[in-house]
Amino acid sequence: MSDSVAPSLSVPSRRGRRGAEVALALALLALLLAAPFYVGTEFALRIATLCCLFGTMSLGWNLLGGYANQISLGHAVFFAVGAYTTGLLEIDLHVTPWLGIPAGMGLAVLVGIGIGIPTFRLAGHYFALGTLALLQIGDILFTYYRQFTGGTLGLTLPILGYRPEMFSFKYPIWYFYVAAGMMVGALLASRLVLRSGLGYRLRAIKENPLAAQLAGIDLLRTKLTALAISAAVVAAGGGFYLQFIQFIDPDSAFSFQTSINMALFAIIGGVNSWWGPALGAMLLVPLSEYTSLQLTGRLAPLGPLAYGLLLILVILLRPRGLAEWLLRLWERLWRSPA
Amino acid sequence: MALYQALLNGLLIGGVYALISIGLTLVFGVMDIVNFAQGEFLMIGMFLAFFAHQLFGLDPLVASVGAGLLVFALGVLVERVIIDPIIEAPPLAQIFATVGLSIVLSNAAAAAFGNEYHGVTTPYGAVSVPLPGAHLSLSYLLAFACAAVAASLLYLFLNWTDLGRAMRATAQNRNAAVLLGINPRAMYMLAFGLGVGLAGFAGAVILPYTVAYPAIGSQFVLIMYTVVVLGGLGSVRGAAVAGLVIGVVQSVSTVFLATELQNLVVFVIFVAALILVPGGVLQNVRLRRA
Repeated sequence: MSDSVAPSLSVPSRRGRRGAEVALALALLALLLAAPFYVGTEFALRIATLCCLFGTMSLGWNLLGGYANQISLGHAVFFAVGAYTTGLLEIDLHVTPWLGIPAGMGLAVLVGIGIGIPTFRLAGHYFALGTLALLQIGDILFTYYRQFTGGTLGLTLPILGYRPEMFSFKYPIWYFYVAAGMMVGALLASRLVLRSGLGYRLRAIKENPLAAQLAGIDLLRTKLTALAISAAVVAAGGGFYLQFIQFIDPDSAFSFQTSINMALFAIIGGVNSWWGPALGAMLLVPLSEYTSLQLTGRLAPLGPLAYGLLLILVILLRPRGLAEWLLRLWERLWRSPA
Repeated sequence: MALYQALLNGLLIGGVYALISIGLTLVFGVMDIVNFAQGEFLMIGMFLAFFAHQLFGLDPLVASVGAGLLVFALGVLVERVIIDPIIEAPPLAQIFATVGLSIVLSNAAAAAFGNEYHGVTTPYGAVSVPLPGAHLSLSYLLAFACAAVAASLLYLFLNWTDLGRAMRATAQNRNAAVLLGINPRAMYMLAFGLGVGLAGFAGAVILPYTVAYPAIGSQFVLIMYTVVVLGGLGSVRGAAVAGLVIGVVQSVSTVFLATELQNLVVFVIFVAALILVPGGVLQNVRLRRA
């Protein structure tokens, strides 16, 4: 509120804010990339890897869900396409995941366009409902065509030992650095899209689709472009997930929880920010991994319960997300002496 | 013969789908909110009936009225605390507020009651009524009858009482209703309470032929949306008819298709209905809402 008191002040402060944003995002990224130097256990390194993985997927979801407010509850479909493409290519055709992951991304783009053309006729809640149904349809089909997908037994990757050319590494730290590289790529994509013409068009659609159309924006084309990029990013996450976890089945691939998590991290981090979703994942993934380790049996539901409460609280109290809130804190910190 | 039997079962189950979906469509019609937690209120109704049976020996059908009223009260409270602040918010906040609510409710139930199946044994649970060429399960029949009574009462309420008319007026045109002296926020509270209360009631009446567990809400989620979309968003009569149709489609498709594919037909109908409704879904809402 305070930065909009006088227009003459708000212009330089906005430029300053952009710098502050980059500085803050880089600081957090450095904190994450340095994780191997300060985390002691393999479990902690695994969490850091998952942070990067879910951060990537959440950034991907946000390109469409956050920037354009097209809420997809079915983005796990792209995760599944990425994971299954990589896995089936490796198991059936012995194709290296280094090619399998890009193949999965490409296929996810095609699937995304196939899904987007009919479903983008729907607005608001209806788009969310339609994408949710697609998730269920995918789950049913992948379970049914078991000769192709392994059905409920899922896919288990062969143990290859040390074969980096087949995405099989000696030390867990290598998986971490690959995931971190993936997230840096997603962050760059997120910032590029936000600052590009596409980003402006998406925000116009978010503010007022009718006005955007009147201003000459091709709604379908803009949304499809964002969906294609978004699908590719999420599919990369799916491909990596399979290599890291080594197992996938229809229920874990087409999980509503995966879809919700992508959106959840973005909302908690801040959907209008290019780095907010990564921040959300960095905060929530460790929380959820540690609580699921500590709380077992009857107490196990308390972890997801806290998740749901946090989601409601952020929506009611901090609807712009924590990235925005951190930026405010940062600005106050730098300005307070003056 | 199997087809005839499936048709009858489908109709009976469809009656309950209709009732749950009427609750959802009412909330949508009046408030423009899709309640993603509707299935969880059904689950709460089931658990209330289960505990009424365990603690007081009440039959679920007797307890259903009390369960419906308690869930109604919970719904009013939830509307005040969570829904009212986001009623004008963008879809992102609206969708994830109720998604968050569904996560909270199902996990709270899991923490409190455990993930085991909770069922009750009733004197009529295993009774079947012979018909020429088929037989009806008495518990299906009773659940259907309860759902039909509740739906009829709601219909009378909406059409013949001032409060019901005020609620329909709010659904048709919020601003005009305000000008006529109707307090829309009171209507939202009442509509949300009624909408989830119906689900709670439905949960209690189906307990004799199914089991309660914390995640059962998710079983009904897409079926409810399918019914609501097919019937025309916001249309109570449409939801009643579409509920029966979906019950029959689901039941009959098990005769022809593998068990794994049971719900596929329903979901495909759902996506097709969403996309193919002439003139787009949104316009249809405006026309049909009365």
